[in-house]
Amino acid sequence: MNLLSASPLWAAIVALAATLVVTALYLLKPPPRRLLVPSSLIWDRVLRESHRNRDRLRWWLSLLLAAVIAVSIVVAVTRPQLTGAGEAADRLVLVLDNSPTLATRTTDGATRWSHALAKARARLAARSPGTQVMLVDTMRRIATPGFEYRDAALERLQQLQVAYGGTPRVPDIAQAGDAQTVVISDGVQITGVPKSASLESVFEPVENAGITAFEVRPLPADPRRYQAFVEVSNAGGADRSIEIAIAGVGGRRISRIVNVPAGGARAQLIDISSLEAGPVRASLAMPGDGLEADDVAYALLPMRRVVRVGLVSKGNPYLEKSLRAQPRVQLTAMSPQRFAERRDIDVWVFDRFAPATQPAAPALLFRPNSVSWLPAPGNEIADVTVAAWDGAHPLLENVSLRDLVVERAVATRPASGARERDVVLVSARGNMPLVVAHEGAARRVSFAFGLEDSNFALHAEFPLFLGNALDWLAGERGAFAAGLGMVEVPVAKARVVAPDGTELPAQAVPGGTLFEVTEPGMFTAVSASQRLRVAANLLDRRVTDINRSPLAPLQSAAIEAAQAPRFPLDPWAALLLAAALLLIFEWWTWNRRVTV
Amino acid sequence: MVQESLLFSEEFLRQLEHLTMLTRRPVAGHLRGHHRSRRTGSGMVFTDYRPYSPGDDTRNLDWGTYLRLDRLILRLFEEEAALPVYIFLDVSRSMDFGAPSKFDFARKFAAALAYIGLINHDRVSIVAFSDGVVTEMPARSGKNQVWRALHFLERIEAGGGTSLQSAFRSFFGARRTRGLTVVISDFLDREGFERSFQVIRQFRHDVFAVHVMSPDELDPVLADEVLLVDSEEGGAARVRVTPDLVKAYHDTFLRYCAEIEAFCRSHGWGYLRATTATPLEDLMLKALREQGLLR
Repeated sequence: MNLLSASPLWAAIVALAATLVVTALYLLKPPPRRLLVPSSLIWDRVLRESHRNRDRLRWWLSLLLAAVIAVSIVVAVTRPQLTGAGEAADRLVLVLDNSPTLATRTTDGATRWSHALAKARARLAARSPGTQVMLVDTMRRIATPGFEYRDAALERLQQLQVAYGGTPRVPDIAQAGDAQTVVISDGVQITGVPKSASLESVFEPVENAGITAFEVRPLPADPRRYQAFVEVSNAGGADRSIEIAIAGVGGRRISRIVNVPAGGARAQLIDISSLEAGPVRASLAMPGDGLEADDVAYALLPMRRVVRVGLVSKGNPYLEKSLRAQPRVQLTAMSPQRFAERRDIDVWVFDRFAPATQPAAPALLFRPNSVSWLPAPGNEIADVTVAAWDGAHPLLENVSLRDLVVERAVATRPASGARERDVVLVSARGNMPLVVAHEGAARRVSFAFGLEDSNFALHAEFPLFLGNALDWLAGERGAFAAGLGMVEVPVAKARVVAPDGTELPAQAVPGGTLFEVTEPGMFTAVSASQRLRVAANLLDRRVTDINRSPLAPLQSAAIEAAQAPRFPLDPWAALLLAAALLLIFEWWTWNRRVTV
Repeated sequence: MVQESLLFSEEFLRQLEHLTMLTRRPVAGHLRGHHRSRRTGSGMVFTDYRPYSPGDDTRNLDWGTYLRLDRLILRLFEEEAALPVYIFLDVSRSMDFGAPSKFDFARKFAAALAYIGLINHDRVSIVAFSDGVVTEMPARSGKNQVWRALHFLERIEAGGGTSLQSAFRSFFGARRTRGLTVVISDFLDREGFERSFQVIRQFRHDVFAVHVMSPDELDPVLADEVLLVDSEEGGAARVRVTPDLVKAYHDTFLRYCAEIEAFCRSHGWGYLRATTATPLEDLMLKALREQGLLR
């Protein structure tokens, strides 16, 4: 809280003015009422005995009290930024490491972060109020650091929290100049600490185990079955037996006990086919675990059902056989002449054909002919060399296109206006798109070449690609995997709902939505046309390894307590409180006619 | 026409008619009345014998003694004389205070006393004084003088300072028969009451002091800060009123009253503290009888 933060000169002027006003009010009091008494004989005796000077004293005491109250209120409100006696106003750059490892619990029950805050407050409390302080955090939550008065920095400090996402580093602060720099960190992840900075440690070795990888994927041999890949890391100094539990919808639970060596990691593949489709939560339990955020991870177990595929082709045995070989596919093949829009088809596969109007179901198109709802095809190009592909996209999961040879392809460009929803999966030299995935009301994947114009259908990964494509097109995809921190999902203008049903603050960005996740969970991004599950997990071995710090361990709790500010009340609040107490005292004395 | 404030009810007057003023000393007066005097003469109460001298009233010869002793012995009787009553009424400006004002109260008090004295054939003088004798009603007696006394009292107006001493000196400077002096005043005299009373004491009068005060005077209700203006002298004093100060005033006032009372008692005089809130009937019929001024 910082109301005015006036300069000392202004505060003095206002305080003087308040004192003058109070004095003037005392001097300008209305004259006393005239009262006729029979004789002043008795009164003279009384006044002679009760020391008349006391009246003057009472007047001065009253004025003094009123002036002190007025000045206290003025000073508390204006909050002059005073410099300590004989002390020049100095500048301090205070860098707080708010990386995820700071959330680690310490042996005293607090966290490294709370120790860091205490140290920062102690540092600031030791400075004069006129000190110029620049508060900086390593996760760049303070977007535009700047010098401010000590009390303003203290208030800003209260708003700072541990943040996730990105690499913590000390920003390059050009405007800091020759200011003293103090970095408060646990030293685990921080980088870029200036040599001239003094480093204060909040590090304390703590046992910790964490899930560093968690994924749900179908068995390549049988896409109807799913397995979970779980990797557990042990950052402690001793080998530990750790129980891993995977819980699904309906409370079903599968657990394993894994022996993880000190400083090592162990991976497990767990068959979770028995779990029902929906969110899956992996957790581990270890006594004395220091960091909570890496103890759980979420994924989505997709729904397994028969996909009704309609193949429209003049005849393509490779494609037809491959589709029939897909375990969950119920194929209906037809020629282009017999094509008609049907409601019992989940995914269309068009081979060298495209209907005149866009079908309602998603579509996989191999070298479609020119239609209005597809980007206009360009020239045919021979001997196309694949230059790049997006292996991270779900469509190309477990698919390598290294040996893909394309004899002929049609140069296609994404349609204008829909550029944001098109993802080029495979491109040839000259950035010519070969395979484009389109997000929209109905998804589609367009190949710029036919299967007979390439060796793709002969690749061992072709059935995998078809499986991925059918899953993606049929909407049976896993959750959008994201880390903690700022998450951008490819759903425009979406509402983001947390696991507990509350809506998170979200910001629309071009082609997606941005929101912040501070703890692992399964979130849902919902827009008018789309619904996307987002599995936000920490899954970072660098974070789980909370004991990898070059810094000396934290001092004992007693020393920490001694360094903590002894008077927790804000001095300005204390001044206001004192003014209020003086006001009560003045009222009390006035009632007893001690003051006037 | 007498002011209504000086009029009493018929019943009260009837009660007053049963009262008589008392004095602790024998009366020095020579006019016949109802009070014991130092003189011996034709009274009813036997006091002594003495040998007969030529010219003595032969009606008082004790013939029985003559037959036994063959000597002419004269019986002496206590002569009953009229009591000179001097009612001193303070009419200074300080008396014009309170509701009802002390002045009106004092006038009424004086009227009642005068009524009692006159109907008992005492020689009643009323002296209005402030910083001296303002006016006086010469000694009168008899019931038919009541209206004169009342008219005298109604003509008096409050004004001037207070000087008991100069009033007493001025009045008793002339030759006055010793008698009962009733002083009705608030005694707010800057010269002090002791010196004033010493003047009366020199003349060996029996004194009864009626200290008139207003309840507002004893327990004033004051604002936080007031400018007290003396009604007699006009001087002003700025006072910041505190409960302690009010209490100190109250105590000082009572102490002042106690000083006057103590002085009177020490000289065998009567003293009555009369607040204007007290009904006059109570004072006359109870308080003054208890104090021994009336019977």
